[in-house]
Amino acid sequence: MATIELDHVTKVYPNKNQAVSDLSLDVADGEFMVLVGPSGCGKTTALRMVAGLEEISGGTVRIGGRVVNDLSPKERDVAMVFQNYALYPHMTVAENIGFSLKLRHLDKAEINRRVQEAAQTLGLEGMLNVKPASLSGGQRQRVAMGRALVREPAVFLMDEPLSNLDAKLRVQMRAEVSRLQRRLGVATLYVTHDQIEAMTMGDRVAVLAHGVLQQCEAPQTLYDHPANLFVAAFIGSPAMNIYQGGLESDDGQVAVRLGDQRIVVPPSELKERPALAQYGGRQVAVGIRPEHLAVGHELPDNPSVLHAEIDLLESLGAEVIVHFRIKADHIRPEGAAAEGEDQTLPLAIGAGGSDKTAPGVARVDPRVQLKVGQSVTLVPDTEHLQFFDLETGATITS
Amino acid sequence: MATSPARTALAAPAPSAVPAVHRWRSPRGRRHLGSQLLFYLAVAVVVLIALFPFFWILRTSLESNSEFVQGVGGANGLIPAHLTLSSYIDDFTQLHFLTPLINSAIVALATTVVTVVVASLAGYALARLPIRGGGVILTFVLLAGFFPVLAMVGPLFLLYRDFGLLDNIYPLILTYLVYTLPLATWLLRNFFAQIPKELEEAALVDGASRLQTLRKVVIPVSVPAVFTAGILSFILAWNDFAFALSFLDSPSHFTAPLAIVIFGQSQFQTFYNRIDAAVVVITIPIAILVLIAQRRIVSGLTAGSLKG
Ligand SMILES: Nc1ncnc2c1ncn2[C@@H]1O[C@H](COP(=O)(O)OP(=O)(O)OP(=O)(O)O)[C@@H](O)[C@H]1O
Ligand SMILES: [Mg+2]
Repeated sequence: MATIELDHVTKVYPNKNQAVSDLSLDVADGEFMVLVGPSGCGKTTALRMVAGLEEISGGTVRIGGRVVNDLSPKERDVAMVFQNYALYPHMTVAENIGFSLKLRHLDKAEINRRVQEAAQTLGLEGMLNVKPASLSGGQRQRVAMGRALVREPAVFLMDEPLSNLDAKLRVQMRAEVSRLQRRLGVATLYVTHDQIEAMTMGDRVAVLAHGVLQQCEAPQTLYDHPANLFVAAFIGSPAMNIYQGGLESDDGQVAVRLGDQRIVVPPSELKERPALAQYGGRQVAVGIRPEHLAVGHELPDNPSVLHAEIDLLESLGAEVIVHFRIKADHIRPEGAAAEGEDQTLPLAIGAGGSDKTAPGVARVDPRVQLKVGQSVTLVPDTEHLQFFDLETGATITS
Repeated sequence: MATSPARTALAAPAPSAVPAVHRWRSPRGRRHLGSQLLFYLAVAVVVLIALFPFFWILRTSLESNSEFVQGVGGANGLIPAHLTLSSYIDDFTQLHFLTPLINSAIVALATTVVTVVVASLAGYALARLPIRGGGVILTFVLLAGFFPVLAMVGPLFLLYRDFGLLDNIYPLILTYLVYTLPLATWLLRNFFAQIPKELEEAALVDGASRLQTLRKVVIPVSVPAVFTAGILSFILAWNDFAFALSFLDSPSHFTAPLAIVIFGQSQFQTFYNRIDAAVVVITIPIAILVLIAQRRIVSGLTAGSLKG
């Protein structure tokens, strides 16, 4: 049991490809840290540097306080679950799980005991004597887990261990892996590109883009207070709606203009984001999560509404995902629509100027009667608006 | 008339059963049967052509000297009336076939062992380690394996003569390695290169050294390729005639293929029955190897190591 510390770690591949840049990350003892980001952002590379499978180009990696930069994987005492499991095909399940113990010359009885124990934990008792070829995907995944946990290593490294499972099994294994990690209390660095996995499993989540750490926080903090546009767009499903709007202020009231719509920014937001005052008369990125939009009416005391036309309805039973279009300038930051949302919807060909329409998503109660093509009034919960600097993408706070 | 009740009784279930079977078999069934027959016929022809020479060798080897002399030209028929092991006994008693057999075994086994060990290491290095110009090395390695044997005999003869290595079976091992190593290295490198890297990385993380990874994961997973390389090496060394003929002098140093040639020679006649008996004997190890290989060379040994 130990901590993992990455201190300004950089990886430049021999072909000059900079996969990880100046990554600093601390995983506390017993913590479940999820490393998330889109494909190719350097997650696997970071993990492999911790495992000792990839040379570290710059910075230091410490495991349990010990600098491991120049240690072989063997000397680092890490256990790793590979994305494609990498089970030894010529060994039985028991031999696969016990391989690391055999290499350390533990006596047979002890190996047996620990393999049995791991098998029991993972529900693999019945298949200890079969070869991986005759196992299902889920069972193979479990063997890969077993191989890691039989070691009782200093730290666990997992590279998208659930990505090859079908949806249902993935949800089930998600909970199982979390439970197991919590029980063992071993510091874990878990890589995924699935933000739902990241949100549900991690004690903390580190978001990576282009090899650069964007933010590392508890899942809820990440969701409520994204540090920049990338995190805002990447975390959350369906993704946050982000539009470009002009910030106007007159007689103490600050409002953001989206097309011909005007949303008043409530005082609480202004207090929370004092820097917003400096953006008067400038364009900013405004974000609002789908659950903070309600179908309603324009009221005299609340003129801050959006006029939307419904494009598509997706009923999920407990809620309805409403895809709509509004008159506004859409911003699709990189990282958005990671789940492939929006992409099937027809693109609006704006006539230019303020006639441009932008797509958006709202989550509404299924009891609200809605039809495709219908025009509705959306009432945003302005307390939850997010503001970002258009140039830097950073969230506007203080 | 007396049999008619019995006949009707027997036939009773037929009307329903027979048409059912017919409907199931024809017309497609019948055509299928025809094409199957053709297939087996073709197979039989191929097998016959391939095996007939060997059958003839086996048949001749089971003739005694006198029968052989009488039956030159196949006068004894496809299968001679009297089968005897006398040629085999002669080979081992009068002609001391055991000595060349042992010589051949030493040479072939040593060649095989050295080839498999060295080619595994070399193949692994070429497949996995960042070697500058690995591709070029590989091309040259492969070229070396195809160097014409007869072009090699002359220079090597001079070399071995200068070093006093002629009429000695051990330099033969060195000679065979010139041919077996390149082929085996190339074969194994290509196989190793196909093994998922993660398999080795998993072993490294599990606490294995590079060599342990090679020995406990890569080689076992590559059993088909290792067997193929080993068998090819063994056969090449076991069957060699040109080098043995050029470098060996005294009959006690002869390898089996070389010894066989002088077997049948009496002053007036070549006893092919004795030669053929020896041929059968030296074919046995090869046949056994191929049989073992067939069992071990199962495709898809890496199946199941990766995802679902
Ligand atoms: N051996 C290599 N040599 C050169 N570039 C590499 C190498 N391995 C990875 N890269 C590059 O480094 C970047 C990061 O790759 P990495 O595998 O870490 O991404 P990832 O975040 O794990 O992606 P995914 O979610 O698809 O697994 C990519 O641009 C990739 O092309
Ligand atoms: Mg990856």
